Amino acid sequence: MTSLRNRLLLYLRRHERVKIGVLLAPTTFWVVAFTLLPILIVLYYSFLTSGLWGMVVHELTLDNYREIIDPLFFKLFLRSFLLAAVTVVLCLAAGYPLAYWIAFYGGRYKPFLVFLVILPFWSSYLVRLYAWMTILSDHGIINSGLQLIGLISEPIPLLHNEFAVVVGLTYTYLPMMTLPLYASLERLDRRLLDAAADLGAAPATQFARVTLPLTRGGIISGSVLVFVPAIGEFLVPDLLGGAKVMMIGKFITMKFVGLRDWPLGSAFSLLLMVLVLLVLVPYLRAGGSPKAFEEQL
Amino acid sequence: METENANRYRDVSAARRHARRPLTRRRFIVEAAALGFSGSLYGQTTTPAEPLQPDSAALRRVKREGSTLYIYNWEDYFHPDTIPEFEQLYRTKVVYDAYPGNEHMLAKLQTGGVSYDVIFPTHSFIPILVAQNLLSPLRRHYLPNRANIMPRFLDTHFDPGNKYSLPYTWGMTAIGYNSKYVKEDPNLGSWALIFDSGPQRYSGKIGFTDEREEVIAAALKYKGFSANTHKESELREAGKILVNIKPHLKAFYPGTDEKKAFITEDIVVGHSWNGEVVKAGEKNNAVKWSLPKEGGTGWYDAMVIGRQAPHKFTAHAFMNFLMRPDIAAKNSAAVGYATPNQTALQTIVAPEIAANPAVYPTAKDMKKIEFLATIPDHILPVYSDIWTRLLS
Repeated sequence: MTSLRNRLLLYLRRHERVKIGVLLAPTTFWVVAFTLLPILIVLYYSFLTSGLWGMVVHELTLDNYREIIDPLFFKLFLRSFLLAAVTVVLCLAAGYPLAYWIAFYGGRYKPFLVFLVILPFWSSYLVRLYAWMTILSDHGIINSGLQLIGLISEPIPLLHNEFAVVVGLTYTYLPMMTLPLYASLERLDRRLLDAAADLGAAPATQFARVTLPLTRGGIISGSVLVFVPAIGEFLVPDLLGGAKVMMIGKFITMKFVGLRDWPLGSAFSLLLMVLVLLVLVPYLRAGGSPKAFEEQL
Repeated sequence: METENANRYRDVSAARRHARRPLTRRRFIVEAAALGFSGSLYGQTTTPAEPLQPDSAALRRVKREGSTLYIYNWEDYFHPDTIPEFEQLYRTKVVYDAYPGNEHMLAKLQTGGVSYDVIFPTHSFIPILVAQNLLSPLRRHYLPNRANIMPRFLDTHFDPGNKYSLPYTWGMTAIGYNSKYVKEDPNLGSWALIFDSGPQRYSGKIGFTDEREEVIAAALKYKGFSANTHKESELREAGKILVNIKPHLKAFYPGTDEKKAFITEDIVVGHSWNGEVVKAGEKNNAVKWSLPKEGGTGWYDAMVIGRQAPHKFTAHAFMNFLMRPDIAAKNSAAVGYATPNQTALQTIVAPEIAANPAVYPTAKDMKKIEFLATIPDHILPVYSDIWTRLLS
């Protein structure tokens, strides 16, 4: 047995390519089974015909792609794009100082503080959104608090509008921004900051010319991790937006569920995927080398 | 609170002692006669004496099936004691999954790969489930408590002969309002309360359910059209009315959320299910029900067994259990909707509930209620388009 094991190890040591293949096999399987295959299924469905009562007929057609030139889709895509972009900016504004503080001043509490950032993921997403509804409602904590100290006489509408949707999106995806930023700030070589100080750079200059450029990778990966799920979100606009602020994810859901047209819904899903990729490619190019992005992931 | 209420309803005399509104003997007799005993409206049945404990053969079968039952139902759609009681009685474990709407339920069942035992679709979805071969035929001899069900809810054209389904609860969809804010409004008693008075008097304080067919039906009724019209022009007109009212809406509420909004007075008028208004009224006395003169819609939620159900015998036992008069009355009281269980209504449901027109409409009101039909495939894109445009 041992000799077989040794021979196997020896073989792998000598054949670099096979070794890489073996080591990558689990990851490859994961990506193929859970990312590539589902997308291929969606692609296949987008060419099928929808039958009676929402059943799917396995007859190939291009009809679905004729129907996706829908002005409403592009209007909703634009709105979702803007909401997701605002979310990214807000997450960055809140997440960067937070990650910076943890990385530079967290001391021995760092692991605990990072744990606190992830903690919300341990409870149900739905429950957390309902908690926000009680915070923002007309008789919620904010409105009754402001009324109590006499700042306002009538409740200000905080819930069931675009404001509530942005609050919900920012809250939900903040950890996705904080964690990559923390990783890049944590890895930042402090000696570079000392060197900058020795050379006479003021703290603001140190930050702008050293810290910020060196954490660019974290900013990019954090932004992508926030932007992509935020643009497809449909629960937040449904619950916090009162179903009045529709985003593109809901539009696609309605094709599947309300219209019972799975092939058409699949075609719209792919269109969304392509549009998001088109948006992201120039961003990644402008924001830094792909290497910086990969480093952070 | 819920448990407390249900226990109260169980004991009729206690319920009468604690009744909020004084109930004279005369009024009780008159109203009971108008309701439960008018054979034309709610029908009459005889009650077979049903042993409460399952026999050992039944218990063995449940055990052989694995002592588990998968339920797929609307959220919070039982009395909190119902499932524990069944689990204890049949020594089985019940897993309860909830869905937010019929369409989601249908989509999930269509994918296959799920094997729910008992599902609770709204009447208009039964034909779709049957057409897709997603249901398992019922075995009548496992369901003796079926004899308790009112004839008007049996053999409907959604499931002739009840081959696949039996009714669980039923209700209406119309208007809830808060009498503190809705005062001296000439439009009270009409859909104009929402569509005409709404923009000026209740702007930002109006709620709607988020059920597509129900919302569109409200606007159709307001215009005096049938809720089941297939005329595209009428549907489009309803869509236009809804688009005009939308800026004045607080929200389209999913599930039971509108009830909470009525209680906290976030909304003062709303298109709502009667049960939500009734339950809200228990917490906030000012919340009242109105079935407008143009009429509202009616529905019943049914119990069906999934085609691939792994525990079919247990599923029948559960359905039969839900049709036991005391259980039916308890569930009905907890969720605020009417029971189609004749025996329960006559013998257990508290008289003030049985006489409440917000739960059990009078014979006259019953004529104003139109049951929603199944939307055929050729009209579905119109509905979908109106709804998408309204929400976008």
